[in-house]
Amino acid sequence: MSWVSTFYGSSIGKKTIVAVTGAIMVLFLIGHMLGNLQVFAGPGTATEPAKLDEYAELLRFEIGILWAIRVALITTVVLHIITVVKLRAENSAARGQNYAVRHYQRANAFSRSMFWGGLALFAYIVYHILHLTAGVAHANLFEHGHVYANVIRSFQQPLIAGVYVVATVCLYFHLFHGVVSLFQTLGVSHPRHLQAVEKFGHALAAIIVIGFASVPIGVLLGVVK
Amino acid sequence: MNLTLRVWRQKGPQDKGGFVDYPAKDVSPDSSFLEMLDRVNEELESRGEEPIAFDHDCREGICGMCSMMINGYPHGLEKGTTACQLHMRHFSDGQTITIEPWRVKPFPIVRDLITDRTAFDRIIQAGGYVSVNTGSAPEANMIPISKEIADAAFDVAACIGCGACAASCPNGSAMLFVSAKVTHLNGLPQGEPELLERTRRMVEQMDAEGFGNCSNHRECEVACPKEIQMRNISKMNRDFIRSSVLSRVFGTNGKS
Amino acid sequence: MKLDAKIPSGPIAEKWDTHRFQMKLVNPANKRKHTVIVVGTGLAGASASASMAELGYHVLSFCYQDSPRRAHSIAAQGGINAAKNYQNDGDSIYRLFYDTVKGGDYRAREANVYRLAQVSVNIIDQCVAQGVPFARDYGGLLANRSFGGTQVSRTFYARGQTGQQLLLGAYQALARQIDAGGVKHYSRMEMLDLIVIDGYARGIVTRNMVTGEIRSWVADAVILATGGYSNVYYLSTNAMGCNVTAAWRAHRRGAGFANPCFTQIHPTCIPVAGEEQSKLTLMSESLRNDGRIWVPKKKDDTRPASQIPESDRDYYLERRYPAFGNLVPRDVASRAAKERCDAGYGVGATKYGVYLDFADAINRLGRPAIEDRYGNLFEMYEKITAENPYETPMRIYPAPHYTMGGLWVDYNLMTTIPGLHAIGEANFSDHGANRLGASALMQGLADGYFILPYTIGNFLATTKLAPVSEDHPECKKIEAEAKERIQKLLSAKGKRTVDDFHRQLGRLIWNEVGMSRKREGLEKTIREIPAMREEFWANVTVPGSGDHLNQSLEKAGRVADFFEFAEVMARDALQREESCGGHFREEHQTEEGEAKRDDENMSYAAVWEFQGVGNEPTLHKEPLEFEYCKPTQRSYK
Repeated sequence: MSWVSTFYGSSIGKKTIVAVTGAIMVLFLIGHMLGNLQVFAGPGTATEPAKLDEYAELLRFEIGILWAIRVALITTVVLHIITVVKLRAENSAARGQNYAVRHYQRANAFSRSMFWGGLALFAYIVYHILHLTAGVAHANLFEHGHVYANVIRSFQQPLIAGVYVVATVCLYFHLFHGVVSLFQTLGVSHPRHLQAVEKFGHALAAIIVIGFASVPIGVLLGVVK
Repeated sequence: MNLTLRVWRQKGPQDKGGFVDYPAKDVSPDSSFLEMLDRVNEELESRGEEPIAFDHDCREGICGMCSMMINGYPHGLEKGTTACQLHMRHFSDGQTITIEPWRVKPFPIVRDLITDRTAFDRIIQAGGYVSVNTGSAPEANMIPISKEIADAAFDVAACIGCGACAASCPNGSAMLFVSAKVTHLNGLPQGEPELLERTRRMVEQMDAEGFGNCSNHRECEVACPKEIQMRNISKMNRDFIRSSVLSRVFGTNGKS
Repeated sequence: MKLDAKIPSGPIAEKWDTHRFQMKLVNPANKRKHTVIVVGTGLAGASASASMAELGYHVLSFCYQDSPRRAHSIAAQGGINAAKNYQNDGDSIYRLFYDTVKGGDYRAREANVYRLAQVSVNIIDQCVAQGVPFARDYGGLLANRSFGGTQVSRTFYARGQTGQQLLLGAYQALARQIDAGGVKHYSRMEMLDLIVIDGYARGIVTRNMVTGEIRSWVADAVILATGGYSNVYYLSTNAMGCNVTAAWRAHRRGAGFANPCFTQIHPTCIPVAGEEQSKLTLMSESLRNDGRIWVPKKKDDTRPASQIPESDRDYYLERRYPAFGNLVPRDVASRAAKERCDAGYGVGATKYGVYLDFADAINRLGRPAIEDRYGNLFEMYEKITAENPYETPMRIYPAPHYTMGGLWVDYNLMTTIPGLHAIGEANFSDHGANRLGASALMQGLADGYFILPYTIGNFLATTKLAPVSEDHPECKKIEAEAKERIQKLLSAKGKRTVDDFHRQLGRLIWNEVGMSRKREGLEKTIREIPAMREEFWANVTVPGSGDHLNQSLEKAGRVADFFEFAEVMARDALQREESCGGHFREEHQTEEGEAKRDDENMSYAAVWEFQGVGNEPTLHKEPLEFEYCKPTQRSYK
């Protein structure tokens, strides 16, 4: 298995890891987003629980599987971050002294915000788990097992909703460049498809981001109660 | 026209270095950027001062020796142009032009605008060739190669090894240079037998030299005076994964 | 100085085979005990270093650039000839041989040229195997084009960058041997002198261009692959760093210098634009395949080209040489352009330019076809001149480009100093008085891949050399001389820059030993150079010191050697009382102004022996015999 450490030690190996873990997270995000959209099905009735709560219950049906998935996801995130931090360190070591005058022509807000934007996202994820999974961030607004109610209560607070919306904007930047890079890093990119890949990146990022942002905005606007 | 040059002067690798301003007077718009520097240098020399050291040789855009940041752009702003082919008609009277050496760790500054780019030589030495001894070649027309493949090989083989890609990269990555040679040779039937070994060794050498990693800023692509495309990096990534994962795991040559 | 060309006996087609069999071989186990120094990493140097290391020799390789990949072979555009006859148009080894001897105006050595034509086919095989991306047809086979006035299509090419692709192939072969340990390569190292011990070339003295360190390197043989001397003209198509120093220093140590006046002025270069110009840019000769050359019929016609009607245009090459038209050999095309411009018909601001017009070709073939053939050249032209050649005709003018003269070598490529070999443009052997297009790449690679690696073995196997080290008193003596010379340059502390002197020398040589030469001009040149040289040593300014990277010092050393070399160039032009190839003496022309060769008296290679700076060198002659190609007056009418 020495090839694993050799591969991970190489620049392209590390980038591959970032791409693959990123892809896993994108898939997770799509699922997560689809789950979230259940909130628009409403609070349910006295006899029938909210769709969102039903969905949450479904996730918890076998605690072993739930934790296996959680551990896998945490490992993915940690691997993604550790690898990126290593790459980042290598890159700044390679850069050396900065230019006094430097005008970038292609590098843009998307590509240049990956590291700090990514860290912001990580901070947000921690907050998000503390908030809506562990229920410790805003304990007064949280009640175990009542996901729908928790969501509505929290997002009726403009500050909390605002944090979530800002996070989705960060996510947009991160996802767009991440998705486009993923194709390049895994070796399936071609200039003939670059425009299509970029469009796909924008579209996927937009769909995910709108899906996520619609929940706090919907609550804030009173569309969902 | 009259210009002011802000030039990076540094006596040697250990010297701290700094900017010095020089006037460039009566510059002809038809002269090249390096000819403009020649004039400034001659003036310095006739005053007994040491001229600005810069690398240059063929002055027709093919040897890859010239290498400088001109106003924040590698080889200047003109697309697909080396510094030696850049003409003064692209500048305007009264302009201040900042000139800096390539700044990438694996290219240490030797003096003024001159850097040491032997890292690129070592990367080629690690496998940027087809192992064929003189005399052992088969008849040239034995292997037909489609025009498309031959043309594609030429497009990447056109790399002049100037280092603008690494110099322009916010991460100091040399992936464009390395991928140009890797895809040139890997894409031809002659280079195919050594594909796995070549890709792995050249990438390892690139890493050992201390170049950064590609994060797809795409700066190299615009900086490249031969307009080599980033798709080659993608191809190299694929060949590298083939070489270091697929061939190891499945014990094959990485082909499915 | 004894000139023994060592041409093997027997029919010309068998000479090389016979010789290869008769040459002694070095025992494979002993090869690694032999060290060979190769100076230069162009086509000849890189291919020789790689091939010798593959055989097992221990090779020390040097170049002045920052990487071996930058040698000026890289700038060759057009292509490389080989007698493959892939086009089935009647080519053969014999025809390539014949064309090269004839193209060289019967001043080359037949045996060498025949061998060159023989190995030309192996070169293509070798380069293709290395991955050189030659142009191909849709069927996937190698494409050819006709080039530089030949009537068969035997030129292989890689767009307009054939030299680059071939050099990178050789560079990669060299890199492979560096990786394998057979070659130790040193970049940014300039050869300052040759070390001769007991009559044998045993090493070189170099200056490390970064640290200024002067040191000796010893070996069993020294190979100079150091290119030509076109930069003696100051403005030429050569790279800025190209110089005659290595060859000249060898000459000073006893190597005969042959035919220095044979220089090639390339007809299709971008004209000089102004005083500050530092170098000239070549536009590939292949452009003449589709472009038509003309000047206005009226003197000082200031109308733009587009407004000059067909009836007012003089297609002077088509007029003078109806059979070959725009495809006459380089020397003929260059002189014809000079003749028109001198007579006042030139175009452009300086009036030293002629039009190269693609309008007809674009009409006939369509713009896409022209783009496909010459796209990169057109772009390069537009970058430099800011004119679009698809719309207005290109302006071109001849420029110094290649030097056929060089160190005299025998059939084994060895100079008159035993152990010292010269290959590629640095030697004199194959192109006579004029080189055909696409033959320089062929010769460089022939020497490096296929000839020298054999003949060096014979030299090493048949020569008993005493072991020497870098501490040998002769090494120390030559190092001291090199240091003293540098000190002298640094301490002149005069008023004029090196470039200023170089420009002055270049102007003189261009005017008097350029495209056409005459007795008074040459005598004047020989008179004037010593004074210029003296002023150079007294009044040059070289700032800085010798112990760091100092580009003024590098240039000064090279220009100092050009000042010595230029004199023998003029002397050679003066003694050659005929017009042949690139050498045109105004006294020797026909009534129509064509070159007049003198086969009776001048059929020899002129080889000069150094007698001290300022002293007249001794002229030796190697008679040339033409058993197979009977000299005829070249006629392209």
